[in-house]
Amino acid sequence: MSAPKNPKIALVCSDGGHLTEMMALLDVFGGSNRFFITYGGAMADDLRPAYFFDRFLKNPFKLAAVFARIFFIFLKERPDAVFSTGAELAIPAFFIGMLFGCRLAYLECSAQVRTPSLTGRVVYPITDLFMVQWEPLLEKYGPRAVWKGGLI
Amino acid sequence: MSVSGLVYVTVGNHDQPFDRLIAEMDTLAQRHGFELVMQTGCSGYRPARGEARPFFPRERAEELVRAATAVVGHAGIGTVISARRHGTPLVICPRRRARGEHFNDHQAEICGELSREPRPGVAVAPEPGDIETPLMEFLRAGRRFEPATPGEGIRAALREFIAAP
Repeated sequence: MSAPKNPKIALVCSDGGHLTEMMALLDVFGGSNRFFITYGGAMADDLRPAYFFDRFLKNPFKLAAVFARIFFIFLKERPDAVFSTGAELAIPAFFIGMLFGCRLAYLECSAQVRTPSLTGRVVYPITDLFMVQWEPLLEKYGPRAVWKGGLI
Repeated sequence: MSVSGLVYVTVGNHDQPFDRLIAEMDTLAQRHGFELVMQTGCSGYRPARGEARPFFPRERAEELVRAATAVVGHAGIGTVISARRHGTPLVICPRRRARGEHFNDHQAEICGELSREPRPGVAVAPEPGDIETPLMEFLRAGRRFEPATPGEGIRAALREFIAAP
């Protein structure tokens, strides 16, 4: 099945450095049909259209609710692909994305120089384009990880 | 010895303080006489000189990076990207877990990589006491660097990913 001419892309990122890196790459998605899944906060205000989430890491009930909400977002939006710069918000987005047959791309945060992130380790097995920003990290993940340079 | 120029200091919006950096920059500004504007985050240290705020709105922060003769910052990704985008010389100093400045030592690892493979216009100061030398060099030289937005490899891979069947 070939891709539609203007694929719809879900852009998923938490805050802090993950948000900064997503914003540094927004030019790539300029012409695309896209929407954001992110945490709230002043820095994320320019990301539109967006679905805002609260932090859910420490709360298993919240995690279940996040999975459910993302399922319904994907049901409504039907994205063709998902791109994430992390962090943990990528986990439900990628697994739900996989359920919907989305292509999945992930960029490990530049803060991870030698140590894989938890998010990266969880999504690596199901990610189509898995990018790290520092070469030493390649061997920590496996043969499908690629290094295309970094943002710094 | 007095030197002119505007130095913008930033410690990002991480929720731990980085007083060592703020205190050192306060000392250096008193010693050398440059103009100082500091984004201090949640640091409790109250500098004697210059304008200091916990946070600046994003546009103002970008403007300060653009206008500064040099930027001194924690080794955060946003700081490095911003300074390089504007071609403003940058000195970075890592927050350290052992000092209660971060919950891991990723900034120190980044500084290690940027010491091994330096980027134009980015100097690494492992400790606040190492800031003075590269900062004074930047201020005396007064030059700017070629604006850079690294990441072309990532962008190319993503464009291919978007277009792929």
